[in-house]
Amino acid sequence: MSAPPPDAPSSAAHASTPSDEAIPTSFALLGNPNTGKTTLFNRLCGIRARTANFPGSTVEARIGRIALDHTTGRVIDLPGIYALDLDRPESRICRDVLAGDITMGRRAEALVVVIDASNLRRNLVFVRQALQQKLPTVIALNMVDLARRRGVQMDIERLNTALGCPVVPVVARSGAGVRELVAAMKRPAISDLAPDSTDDDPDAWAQRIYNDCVIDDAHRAEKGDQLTDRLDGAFTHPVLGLVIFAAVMTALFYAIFALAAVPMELIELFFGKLASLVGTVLPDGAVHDLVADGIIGGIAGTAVFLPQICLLFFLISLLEDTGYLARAAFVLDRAMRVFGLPGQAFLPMLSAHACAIPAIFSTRLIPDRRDRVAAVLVVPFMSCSARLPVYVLLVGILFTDPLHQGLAFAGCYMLGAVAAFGTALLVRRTLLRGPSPPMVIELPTYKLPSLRTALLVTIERGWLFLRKVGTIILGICIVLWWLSAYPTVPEPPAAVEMRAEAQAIVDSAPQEAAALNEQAGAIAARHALAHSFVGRIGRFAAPAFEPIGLDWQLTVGVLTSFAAREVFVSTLAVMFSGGEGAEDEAVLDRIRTARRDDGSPLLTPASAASLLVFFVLAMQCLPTLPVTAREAGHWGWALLQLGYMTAVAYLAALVVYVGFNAAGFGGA
Amino acid sequence: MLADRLPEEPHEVVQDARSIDDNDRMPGDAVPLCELRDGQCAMVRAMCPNRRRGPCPMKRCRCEYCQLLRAMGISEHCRLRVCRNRKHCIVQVNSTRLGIANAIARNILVSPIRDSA
Repeated sequence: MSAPPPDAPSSAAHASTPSDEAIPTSFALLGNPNTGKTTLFNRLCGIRARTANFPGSTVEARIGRIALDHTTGRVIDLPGIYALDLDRPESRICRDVLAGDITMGRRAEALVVVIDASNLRRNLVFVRQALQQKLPTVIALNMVDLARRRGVQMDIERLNTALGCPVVPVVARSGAGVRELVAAMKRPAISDLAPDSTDDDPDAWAQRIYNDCVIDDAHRAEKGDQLTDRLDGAFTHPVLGLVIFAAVMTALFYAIFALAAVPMELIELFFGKLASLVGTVLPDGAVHDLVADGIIGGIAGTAVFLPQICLLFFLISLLEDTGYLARAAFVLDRAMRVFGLPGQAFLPMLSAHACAIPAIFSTRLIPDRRDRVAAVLVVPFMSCSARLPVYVLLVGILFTDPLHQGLAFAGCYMLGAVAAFGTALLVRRTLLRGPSPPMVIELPTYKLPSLRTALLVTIERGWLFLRKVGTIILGICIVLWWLSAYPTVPEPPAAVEMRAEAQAIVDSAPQEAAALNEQAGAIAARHALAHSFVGRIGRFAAPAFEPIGLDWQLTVGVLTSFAAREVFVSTLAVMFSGGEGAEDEAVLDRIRTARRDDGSPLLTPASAASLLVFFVLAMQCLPTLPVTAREAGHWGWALLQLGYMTAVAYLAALVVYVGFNAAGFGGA
Repeated sequence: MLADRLPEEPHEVVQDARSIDDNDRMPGDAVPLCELRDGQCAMVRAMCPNRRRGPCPMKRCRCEYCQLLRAMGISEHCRLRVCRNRKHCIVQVNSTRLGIANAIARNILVSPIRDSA
């Protein structure tokens, strides 16, 4: 950036700076979307940040700590907004924070306004609004490297004088200028240059400042614009754009499932070892069972999905940073509007294939409230990772050849998506009737993604997932464990006899004795579960599930899976093998060949198909409900979601069961 | 579609000769943005997707769409370039690219100009 010319106009800066004793330590980071605000926040605060919600809203605030000489300052990253005076939740929150009505623990004492140097003209209008707040301000002139490449040359000193507050050029992605910015943050200035908005047009003011301070804007970016035009032409093409989107999403999911497999196995191994260790430390009894089965089992059930969720957020962050996701939302908007959903809803629906809970959180990026609530309601229809063990078991019963199994898997995913879009259409024409605002979206510049930003986002989101969901799922699993473990009953006579027989031959035939003990354990475990509270509830509820082909044993499995879907397979494993190693092929075979009380096969093609459809469509993840209630704004939405999805799942399962029986597939 | 339920009364073009270069303006009245071809440049004359009747000089309109579009860079007398105009419209204002649904682009009146950049 060049020095001011000798005949610089005498637009004297009138600014007041805080006294030396009043160096601010609490900053609000403000700026348009796509100005690199989050990247700059990460540069300033690193991982020393936490996420919270602004009071009374679902809008997130990131609050970080920054080192300032001999003290620690605080930076609150406000949501990116286009203007402070818009009637939108994000703009209202920014106004309230700047006015001191929302403090998040400490009032913001100074502003850091992040602006895009390559788009200065538009950002100056926003700067004017920020300066009118009369807070000590520093301007972070970000993306100066991009501006330089586009042929934009600015006189920073003149800009500093014109705005009346420090202007610091930075490149947040590389960290250039951040040290100078931190130094300037200790000496922000209150500008009184911004004229009263009723006397001067903001656009004219911005144009004047721009004309005064930009030396050359030759916009040597024709080549860049041509490349962007070509890329946009492909990515937003009505047909090619969708093909590219499908290819990118396929690659994304393949990467997630392929790369997450090993870490997931390691996590399962770790918690298995931990449970064994507990077994050696704690004596058998209620405390041992609570810790090993309730607590460790509950945490393991959550933690095992962490690799998938972290990979999902990491890859989505990279994609978002490239500028592609905005184009994807744009090209999908027209297709999704048919079902009453905006283009931005595709990202939560995509994320739901890992887990519905973070997907529901990500519906916050949908601007319209009706659109957002509709997305929250339908997201759980998308087949999540927890459903996979159930799909593996039931598809394996229905089909033996890999081709048909693959088609069945794809069919499950499609059924969930069809139900999601159909429900969105129904909801937007009934409960959430009203026009959906047409899309206006900024398409950010294409650029290479920042690994650092993606990693920080992943760490933060992963921790948030563990903290929020782990507590809810852990609580539910402990309750479920208690219901399935109590009341305790003595072992049945058959198991007692087997143990006695094993004891008699333990010296002469140790292997046979061990097999007898194992069988006795399986019989005892099944007997205990059948007489537990869950078992009694299962027998009581069995008549309601009989029309869709389930007996009391499968009903117990369905009821326990309301805590977490994958619990279904482990519940059946407990019933028919005495153990929870459901990935053991022998255990799966035992489930496939198990019998009902009347001797008929437990799982026939008809009952397996109806159960499969039920799991595709049912809301069987109770931890999702409080998240729905929070994001949709009322528990009524969560209960509606539970009731509606259960009803749809039941009816669909009934149709499938009756259809299979009518077609002659009811037997084994 | 729900998104297309917007008023479509005929617009009266707002003329402001102070900042218009006669050499740049092509003959004819202002046209909706969605009717421009790829690569065409234009100057925004008037716009209001929420307008019910009468013309809307954008400066004074405080409706949500006008406020948002103005904040995003589309304002009266601004120059834009149409990057792509298919089912939706992509325009470039200075360095900013915006994707605009046809339901909004239909109600932005522009005067095509020769690209003098």
